[in-house]
Amino acid sequence: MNKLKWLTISQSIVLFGTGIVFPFYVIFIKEIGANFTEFGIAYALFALSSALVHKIIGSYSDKFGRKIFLLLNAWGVAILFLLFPIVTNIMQVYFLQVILGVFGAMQKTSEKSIVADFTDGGMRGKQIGNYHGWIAIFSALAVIAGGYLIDLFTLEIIFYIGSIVLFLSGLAILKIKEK
Amino acid sequence: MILKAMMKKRAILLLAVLGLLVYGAIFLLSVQTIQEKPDGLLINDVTHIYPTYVKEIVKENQTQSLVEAINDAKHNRLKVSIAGKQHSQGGHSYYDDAVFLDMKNYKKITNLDVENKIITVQSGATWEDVQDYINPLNLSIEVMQSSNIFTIGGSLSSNIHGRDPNYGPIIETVKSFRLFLEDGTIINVSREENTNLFREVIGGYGLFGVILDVDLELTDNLVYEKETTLMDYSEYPDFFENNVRNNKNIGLHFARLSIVPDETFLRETYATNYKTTNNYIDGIFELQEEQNIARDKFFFGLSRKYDWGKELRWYLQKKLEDNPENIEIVSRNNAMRPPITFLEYYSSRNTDILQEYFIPTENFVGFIDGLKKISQEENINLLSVTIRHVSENNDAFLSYSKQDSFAVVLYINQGLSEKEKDKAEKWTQKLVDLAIENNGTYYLTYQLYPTQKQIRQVYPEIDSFFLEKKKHDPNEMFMNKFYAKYALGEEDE
Repeated sequence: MNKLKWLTISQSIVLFGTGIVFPFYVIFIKEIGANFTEFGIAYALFALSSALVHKIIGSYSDKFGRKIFLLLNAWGVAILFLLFPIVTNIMQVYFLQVILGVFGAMQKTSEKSIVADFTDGGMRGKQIGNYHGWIAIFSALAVIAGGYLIDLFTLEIIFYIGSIVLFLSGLAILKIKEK
Repeated sequence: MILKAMMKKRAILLLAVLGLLVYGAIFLLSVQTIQEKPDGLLINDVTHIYPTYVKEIVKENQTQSLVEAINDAKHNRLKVSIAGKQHSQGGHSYYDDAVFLDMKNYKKITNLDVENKIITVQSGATWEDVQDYINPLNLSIEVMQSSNIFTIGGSLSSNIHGRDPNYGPIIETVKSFRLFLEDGTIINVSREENTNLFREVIGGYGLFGVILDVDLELTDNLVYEKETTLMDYSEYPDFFENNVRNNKNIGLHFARLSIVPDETFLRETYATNYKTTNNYIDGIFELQEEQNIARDKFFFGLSRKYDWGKELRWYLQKKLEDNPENIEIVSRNNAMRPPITFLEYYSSRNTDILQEYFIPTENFVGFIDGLKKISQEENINLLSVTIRHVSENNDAFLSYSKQDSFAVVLYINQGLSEKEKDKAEKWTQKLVDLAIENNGTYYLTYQLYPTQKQIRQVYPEIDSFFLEKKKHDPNEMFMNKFYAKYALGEEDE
């Protein structure tokens, strides 16, 4: 459990940061003036670009460690979130989606690998269950917080708050001890 | 071992600090950019020359809710400004920290008297709404701008004119309208009732109250044959006199001068007449939508930037649009909705503006000579110069066609930096002086560039107009940047 402590904390924060934004992303796309076809394309671009890099990231993470990729994801997405409020057209959104896909792949592959690294045989299920339990709670809280923030302020505010949260999660990632 | 651990700790700390610095910088940049980005309460007209923050935007489609919103504003001692499509270009439709009445949803057509050819329409409706409604009944609008995107309320407030040489400004075609006043009452305004307000509100830029609905005269939708004649600009007044004036067969007329910076510049002139014809095919009355928007936008864009682009556009226009050999048959309603979407343009660095000078027909040549000189001296980026005719009309308090005039319409690209705005102000003042020398007027609907002295030279009645406004609206609740500048002396920084 101790090994997983900072991983759990940091990834809970990551999920909180992204969870504030993504459920409301569709409203944002609408405000840019895009239609649902364009929205579909934006999501597909995200999935496609992660599909292309998952494998490479997997092998690089074997070589350089998982932590660096978790950090890249946290800080990378934190910066991308700062760009969303200032985009003005759908082409820019497409571009951001492609990069988000790459960061997303970094997070998914490295997270799974590091969890596997940190757990072993008999206790693995219980530990992973515990890890996901925490993360899920933060996701849920994030969605509530996101909606509340939009009602209270503007749509843009969720990107800024999400971004700050993600940046802080990077600091927590720095506390993870891989070996 | 300990040393290595310490170094690793240091490295992590360094990474965290570095990360924080980079992230912080990008964060500030993003926040700064978004603050510059137009947000909901930043109002601009079509030119973006006078960006202004308003207090609140009211967008109602019911008279009752509109009235409540204005009463609320009055209660809270807020100013009220009234907007349609915001193609007036001197802040006539907005004011700092005012309640901004966006009338575009207030657009029902409430009655059509086919026998007497009178339509009753709410002021936020556009000419397109009216055309769509009356075209099946083979009726047509008497006076409207060259394009159909404008609202009826905005058109009345600017007392616009059109291309039908048989009419003067729109005031000639208005039967009556309902006006919401500052004191909360709604009154009927016509040539028989509240006659002063009839003269003041039409061409009164929203300073007396809110125009609710309007009774407008209509005419028959005819079929025209479009015919274009090439000439030198000096021959144009005679051409008009001999072929167009008092010729009831001509339903629409305009002329276009070359803007190509070569020997044709402001010389080569195409005069276009739309003559009634009975020679037409089925389906001619069906309303047409704008075509080739991307193509036209592209070529117009080139002409905005390059002299060779101006040449190319002039050449293409000759070939495709104004070719004297082409005979085009078109319904009045279709001729009154020519393409305009291709002119939509937004850049943070420069903008397209309109100006219009009304010159007594006998002084036309002198004015164009002066225009040529000033545009060359001042390097004005002229994108088009077109001519229409406006008959003498003194119905409106602020009448611009005090004599039979040619309306010289200039479409110009100007920069948006302070320096460029100052330049534009300077050459506009020269053009206004030129109009004054030629006994003409300038159109108040455009930029606030003319000086206090110039507006009083051209419109000596302007101060009594402002006094009339104060009489009807003592607290100056209905407010805009035009009034603020010329009545109150407020300068835009």
